[in-house]
Amino acid sequence: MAKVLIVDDAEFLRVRLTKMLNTDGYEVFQAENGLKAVAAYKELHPDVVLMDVTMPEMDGLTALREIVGFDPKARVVMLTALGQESVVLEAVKSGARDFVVKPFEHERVMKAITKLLS
Amino acid sequence: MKRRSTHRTKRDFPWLARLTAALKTTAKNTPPETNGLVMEITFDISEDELPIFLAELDEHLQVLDDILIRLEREESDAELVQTVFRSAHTIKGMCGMIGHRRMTDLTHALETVLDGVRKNSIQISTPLVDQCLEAVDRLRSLREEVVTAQVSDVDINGVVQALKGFSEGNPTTAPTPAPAPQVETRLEEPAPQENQAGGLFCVEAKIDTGSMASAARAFQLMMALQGLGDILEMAPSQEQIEASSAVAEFKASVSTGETLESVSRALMQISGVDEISINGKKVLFGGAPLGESPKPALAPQAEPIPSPEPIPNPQPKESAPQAASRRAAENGGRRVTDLTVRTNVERLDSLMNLVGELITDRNHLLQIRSHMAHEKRQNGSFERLSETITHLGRITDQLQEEVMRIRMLPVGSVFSKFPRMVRDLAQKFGKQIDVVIRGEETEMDRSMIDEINDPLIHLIRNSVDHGIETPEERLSAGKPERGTLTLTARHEQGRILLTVEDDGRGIDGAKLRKSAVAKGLITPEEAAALTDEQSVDLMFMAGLSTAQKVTDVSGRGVGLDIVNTNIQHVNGVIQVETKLGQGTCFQIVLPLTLAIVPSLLVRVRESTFAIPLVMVTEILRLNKSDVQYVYRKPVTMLRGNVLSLVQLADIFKMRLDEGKKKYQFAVVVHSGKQRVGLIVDSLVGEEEVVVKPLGAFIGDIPGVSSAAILGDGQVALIVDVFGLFKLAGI
Repeated sequence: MAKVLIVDDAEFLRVRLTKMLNTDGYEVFQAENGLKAVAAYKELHPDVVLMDVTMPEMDGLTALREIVGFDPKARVVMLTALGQESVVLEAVKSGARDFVVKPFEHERVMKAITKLLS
Repeated sequence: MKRRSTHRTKRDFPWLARLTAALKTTAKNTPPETNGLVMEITFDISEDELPIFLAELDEHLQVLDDILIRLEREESDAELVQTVFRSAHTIKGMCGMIGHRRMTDLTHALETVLDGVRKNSIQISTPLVDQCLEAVDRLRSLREEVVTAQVSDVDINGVVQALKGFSEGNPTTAPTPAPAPQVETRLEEPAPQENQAGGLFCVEAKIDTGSMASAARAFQLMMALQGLGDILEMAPSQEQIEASSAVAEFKASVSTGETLESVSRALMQISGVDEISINGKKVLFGGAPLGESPKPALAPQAEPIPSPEPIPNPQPKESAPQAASRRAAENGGRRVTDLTVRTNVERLDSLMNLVGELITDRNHLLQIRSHMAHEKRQNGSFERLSETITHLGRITDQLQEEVMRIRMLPVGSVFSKFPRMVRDLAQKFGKQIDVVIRGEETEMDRSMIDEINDPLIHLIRNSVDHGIETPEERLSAGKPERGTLTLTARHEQGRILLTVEDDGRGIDGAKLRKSAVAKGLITPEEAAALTDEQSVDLMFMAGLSTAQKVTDVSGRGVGLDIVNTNIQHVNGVIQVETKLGQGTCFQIVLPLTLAIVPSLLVRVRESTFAIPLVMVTEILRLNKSDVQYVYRKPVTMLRGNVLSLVQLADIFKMRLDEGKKKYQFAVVVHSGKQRVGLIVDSLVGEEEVVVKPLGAFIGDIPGVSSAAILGDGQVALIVDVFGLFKLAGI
């Protein structure tokens, strides 16, 4: 069972994503900010990380860089919102493997994950 | 409020699903004309997600309120601006996920303005903060739609336009996507060499520009190719990609040792790409691309493109998940999930009830033990039973403490909305007021928090309206122009102390006396007997208001008496201290919880009464000679002051034991600055009693607030000290 780490400061989004992923048979872990995400990544080595951009403590971009620095093969999908185009490019440069724009559809998230896992 | 389950209904009645869908679309954009009909609206949120959504939304709305006010008042602090922006951003994301279009649009406008503030292109001003707060208010109203699943007539267009006015004054802040730059395709396509790759692939990709950040997709394509080999030529160039917001077409030739298949597989992993062709042949998504192994790379080396990032490996690694699960197993399967659980308040209440029962049983056991200890027939099993009871008692104490701790909320959850309230009120009255909050982390039982909310609002309104003067008055009185309202909370001796303090004009005792006499609340003689300090307590009397004119905030003559009643209702005490011209401080003392009351148990004739310890100041032992009569009312001297005495037996109309009537104990209780000694027959001791409401069948009994079951199974009535003061005419 593939492991997915969800990183978002909004609990509602974490719950929503967890539900989606559980339904599709993934093992889900959560972190509420970048700092916790990095720690979680090092401990759990998830197969895919879904990473929010705007978060307290440590933002998604910084966390992405730390995770990729630790594991160059990390598969991180950025969860972005409209208006964050420049961040997305920055994220891709820093090693993000995909990005999904909020509000996202179930299908779109699943596609991103299955694509990365294939 | 219970949410209607729309799912089942929709399945049962397909036409209803269509109707709700139609309404959903209408509701998304503008509130439909309701014509008195209740319009339903469906959001993409389930019953179990709703509480999380609401709690989180409220949290962020509160952050917006708080910080906007602070930003208006203080120097702009980058960290504050960042936090407030983040909250708006999070709300937008959440509302987007449930499909609440108006909330999303409104927060988007708000976020855009805050982004401008963050980037210093928009200056904070009162009109700006006004608009932002207005937006927050509208969001609060719209939140109700999510709760009730009914369309409200909240209009957002005005606020959105106003916010846009702020952000569009600064074009840099508007997140309008820049037009796609003209990308010149000046690529010399290498001659397509069918089935003879020779390690050279020519890649063309069409990117969906309708989606966000198509430039980033182009960048992803570039990185994927860099990972496979060397890019010989590329259009647009890396610099162009980085500078543009949209890229529709991407072309590159790459020299690689990889097979065509792995090249196409790598490219197909990238989302948002409509079409990819390699060497002029379309790669079919999902299907296996044609190809044969290319020969090793020929002479490559065009200009080297820096490739700082390691090659992404599309192959799933097998070992990492296994290693992780082994690690997880070693750690006892520990999860990184949030270590908090949200639970229903009702569950906590019932847990608290059970703990209450347990405490009652423990008290009972302790009594049985003490009875047995007096009996001579003790043996080894008594010792063991005694130890067990002691242990059980200790565990019960800890359990009670833990359960109570779970029910605790920081008082900040009430305090936090006051700065906003004071700002709005102050604006209305043309006053300038700073709010200072201290001890907001002090925790209180959540039931108590609900109860003190209204009293605090009253006190704060009172201070803003009557306490703090206008800037002109303040200046002429030699005070700083801006008034200060200070809210504090702290724990002290197992009680909670809340204060509402202002540096306003203070309360004029003489004026209060005059007013009370004029309104017939007290006689002129009574008034004459009151010191200024005692007179201040008059303002807790019903029907007294010294306000010059009635305002819609306070001053209707109701308010402070209600505050007093509410606080007494939760076994609390309110006191006021005031200095004319300097300010007023209201102090509220509250017990830690409503469910369990530490009490003094006393006996009056055959009955046991519980007097909440928070009310008790001391206990006196009185001889008959200590009691004197003033106007036929019993009093005693306590440290040079006259203390009124009240026979509890009289109050509760119990049979007086005239024969051996002697005063033994007087329990001194207080209400505000008034004290009275309650005469009781004997003292039983202290006990934490579990409060049981009297129930509708018995109804309200004057002087009694509720009942408790004691350790010996007896029922004790809990004395309502304030009611008692009234009954005794004090």
